[in-house]
Amino acid sequence: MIPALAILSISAFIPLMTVINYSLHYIFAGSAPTFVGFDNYIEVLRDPAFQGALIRQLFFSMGILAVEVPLGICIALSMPRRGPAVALCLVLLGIPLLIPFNVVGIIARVLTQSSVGLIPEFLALFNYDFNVSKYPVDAFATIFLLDVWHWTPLVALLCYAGLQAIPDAFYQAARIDGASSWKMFRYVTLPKLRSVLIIGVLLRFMDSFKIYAEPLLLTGGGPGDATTFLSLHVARKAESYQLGYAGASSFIYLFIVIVFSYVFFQLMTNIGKGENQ
Amino acid sequence: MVEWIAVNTSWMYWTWQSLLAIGGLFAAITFMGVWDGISPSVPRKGFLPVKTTRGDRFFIGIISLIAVFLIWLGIAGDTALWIPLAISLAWFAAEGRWG
Repeated sequence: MIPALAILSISAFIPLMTVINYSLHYIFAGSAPTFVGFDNYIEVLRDPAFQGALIRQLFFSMGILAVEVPLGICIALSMPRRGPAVALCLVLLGIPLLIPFNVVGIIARVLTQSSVGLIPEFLALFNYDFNVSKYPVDAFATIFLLDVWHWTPLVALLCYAGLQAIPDAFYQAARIDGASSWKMFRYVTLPKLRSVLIIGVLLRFMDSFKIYAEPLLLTGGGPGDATTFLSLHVARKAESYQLGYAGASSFIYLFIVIVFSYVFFQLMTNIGKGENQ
Repeated sequence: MVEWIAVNTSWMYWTWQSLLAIGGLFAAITFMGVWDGISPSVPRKGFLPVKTTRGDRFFIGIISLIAVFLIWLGIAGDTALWIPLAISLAWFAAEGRWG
């Protein structure tokens, strides 16, 4: 137990406590810290830049879940259950997952560069002026699609593993009862996927909430602040040595992730159990 | 020992306020752990929409306390902090007893 506690202290307790203590101080560029109580929290909560980044982040993360989870399920359902094609599908799905965040950002930057990029050139054929450094919608949509491309395979692989674990007897029984394909999906497949979907939703929510490298490399948070998500906002404050502000916003950031993750976990473990009826 | 810890953790900027809050939280978690070891909690259904154990209700109470304080700080600033404290403690007690 002592080694576990020591590791937990180093990896979680000390950084978290440092952030919380910093959030209660005014610390700027190496000057002596001054205890300011909740002043940093008040400043963060009333800062329009923080509020904007939070709304953008929630919009992004909810959108990611709304797209990646159903898409991942669809991909998993359409994959072959056995045969040589299984290995090919798994490798193809695994490729995006192997690419590091920063490389994904750089690939996207090359593809979307207004003068030479493949995507602006292609969209110009349809008279669409695509420019991620000029139009907020283009920048946001690019990062959104980039995340969908990068991480939907994770949901698909999780669902595929879940599907493989469902015994055929359930489907045979449903067929004997005359269940339609939709009813088999709704009452057999989906409930059996519950545990992998919980993992998938929680992982994707927390990961999408931490998105940093892609917007940093692709747009630098712009144009304006269209792609300045919470992590980018907090990091900029820390980089500019406003450690008190950064500490307070980090704590609020962590709090939001914990609350949403807990709510998702409770919703997904209790949906369909009939506890509320 | 205490002096060694104080010197070597000075970069963490501990204050008595944060030490009291975190120490209290850890003491409460330890107490809950010991209590659960002596008398294991049985999940029950109260006014909360899900079945909860003592630990769940404690967690929800802490989260609610932080939420109440953040909302208060955002709206009213750091004036009359006894109001969010009273609200969150009342909620904590009610949710722990009937939640």
